[in-house]
Amino acid sequence: MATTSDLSFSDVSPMLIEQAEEYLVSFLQEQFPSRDFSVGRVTRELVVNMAAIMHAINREDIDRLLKSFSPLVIAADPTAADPDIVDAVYANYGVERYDGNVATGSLAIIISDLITTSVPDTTIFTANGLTYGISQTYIGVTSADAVVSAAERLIEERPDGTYVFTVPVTASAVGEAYRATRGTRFTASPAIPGSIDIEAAADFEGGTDSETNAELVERVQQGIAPRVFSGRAQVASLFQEQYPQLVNMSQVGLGDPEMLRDRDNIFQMSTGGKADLYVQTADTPEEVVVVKECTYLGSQEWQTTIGRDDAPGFYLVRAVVQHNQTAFEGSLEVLDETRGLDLTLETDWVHAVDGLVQGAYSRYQTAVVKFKDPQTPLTVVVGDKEDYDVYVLRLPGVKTLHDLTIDRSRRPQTGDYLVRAAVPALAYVSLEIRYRSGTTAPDVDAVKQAIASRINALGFKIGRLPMALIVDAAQGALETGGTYTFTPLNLYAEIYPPDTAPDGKITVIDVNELVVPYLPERGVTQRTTVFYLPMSAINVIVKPMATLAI
Amino acid sequence: MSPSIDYTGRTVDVLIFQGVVASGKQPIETGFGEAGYVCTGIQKVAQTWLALFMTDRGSVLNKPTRGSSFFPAIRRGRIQVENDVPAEFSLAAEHVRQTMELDASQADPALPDDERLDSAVLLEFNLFRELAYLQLKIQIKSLAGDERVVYLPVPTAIR
Repeated sequence: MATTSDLSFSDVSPMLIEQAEEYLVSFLQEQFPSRDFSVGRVTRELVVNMAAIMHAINREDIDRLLKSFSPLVIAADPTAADPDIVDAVYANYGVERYDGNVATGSLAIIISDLITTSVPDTTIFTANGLTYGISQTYIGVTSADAVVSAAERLIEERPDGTYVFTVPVTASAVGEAYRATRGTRFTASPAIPGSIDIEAAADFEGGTDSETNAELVERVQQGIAPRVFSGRAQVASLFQEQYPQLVNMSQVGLGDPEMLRDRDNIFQMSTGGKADLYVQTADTPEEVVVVKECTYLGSQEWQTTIGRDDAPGFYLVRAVVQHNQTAFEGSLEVLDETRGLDLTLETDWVHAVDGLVQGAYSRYQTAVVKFKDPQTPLTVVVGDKEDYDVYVLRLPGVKTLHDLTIDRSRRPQTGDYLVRAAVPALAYVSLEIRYRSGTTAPDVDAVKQAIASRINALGFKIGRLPMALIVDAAQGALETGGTYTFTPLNLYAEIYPPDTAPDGKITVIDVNELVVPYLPERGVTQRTTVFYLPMSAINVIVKPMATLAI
Repeated sequence: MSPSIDYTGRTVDVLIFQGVVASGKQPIETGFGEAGYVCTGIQKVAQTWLALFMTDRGSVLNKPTRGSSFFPAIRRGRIQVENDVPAEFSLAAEHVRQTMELDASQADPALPDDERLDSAVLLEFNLFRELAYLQLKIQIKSLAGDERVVYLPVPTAIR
């Protein structure tokens, strides 16, 4: 048993020390009436005051223990519990906190001239107030022959006459906030000679937050349920164990209007035995690059297929660019995207899925993408193959969870459980923050983080994106001395129903609240749909406000 | 000078200046003492004043106004010539006086007059440059009129 405290003076509030001092004086004065405990006396300042500090630290330690010593008290107020003690308590039940991980990604260093450029390993890259580092010195080199290890990065020419090379970077800390999206602008310190811009070459991967006490408590409570395909609590427990980063899930089944798969009979009556498991496996979807072999169709048109293994359960094809074109701007024109399903057997059994409305955003989804490349050389003939980079928006982990449902040893004998990524409602928010002229301007990045964190945690809970929650989150990140969020806000979201993905999107706009429409026959209701609000989709305008002197 | 005082029933403070005698010059040391000596009356005033005077202002946890600026002034080189000594002393002593006055006003029960500071006056000082120390001769007087003179040696790097 440790006999020392890991508290420091700064962990103990001055008020607590003052209270401890008054308590000790009162207590000691009663015991030793002849002692002078007045303020300023040596007894008070050198003896009692020191004892009060230690008393306060002990008190704080005991309070922490009292708030954290059992699952019951932790569950009563998870925010007050000490994370280290919570970890120790739950270790007794074989449960460990999910520590989160750091985001990694690739930065495009855009330079004006084709010259060898060094990026020292001491370089710190910053975006949105967050810092990233590199593990070694990288050198941008001008010819492929000079690339002899991972440290040499080939400089390529961009269409606009500038040059670019990439370096891999790692976030300085764990957390979702570090997951930069493609195109995010970075700065470097020290500056990289000759660089004119630095931006994320693709969406960063990883970058998950450590599990909070509240999340751990919720997981433990789910963990009490057997981890099997059975009732909702049991399935949630199973999925949480299999994929700890799971943020939210919603299960529709017998009797739910959203359950269409169990009505595939001539009477269109629910027969049970099927469930759709909608999952949100990350705060927001991420963009991944899929290198696809494309076939030339003629007239500068190309075609490829996003297979079911390329980005299982993907949401959108965001862009198509020539292979290895780093930090591109825009995309080649996508002429057509047709979704389909690939129900080829993987094990001894496959889910019963009829049409996109039942199978979109599942692991079975595919897409045929047709696009136009105006720079297609004249020498290319119909049927020729060429690699292109396809940028796809998707949630991670869909296949991991899907595999549970087809594994003969784990899947239920009597049921058909289909995993689907939550129907996406991609939200955009614009707000104005006003602060008193002459005071410090608010930290826009902190506001964005607070809002994104609040909204992306909503999951399937309310099916709404209320202005009040955004304002509340923003205010929490602002100083209280008169800085405020000006209302109403501009709220906007695009919902992509499964039956018409990706073209038939539903747009919702409002100043007070966005609401998921109730369209169960199209697979869109609160039970299936999640609002995603990445930081990059939050526009914060900061305006100083003139005030009169008082 | 007040007549002799009956200290019966007075509250006492821990004595941190060991070796004090009733009269005459006597070297003293700081410490709690093996026997746990206590003091009252003017001695309490003197040691309270000295403790505050020798404490760097801002160094006490959660009590940023306690202490004085005299020792920090020496360390930061604000005392370079003899004329600087009385100026820095006055500044520091005034702050100590205000602190003790505030403490006394909040004391419950009220402090007797011979345990309250009236004044602390720098009677004399000597700067021994070669020996790197400054000697202060300070007269501490209570509201009741008791006086004590304290010689305070202060290590210094003034050359």
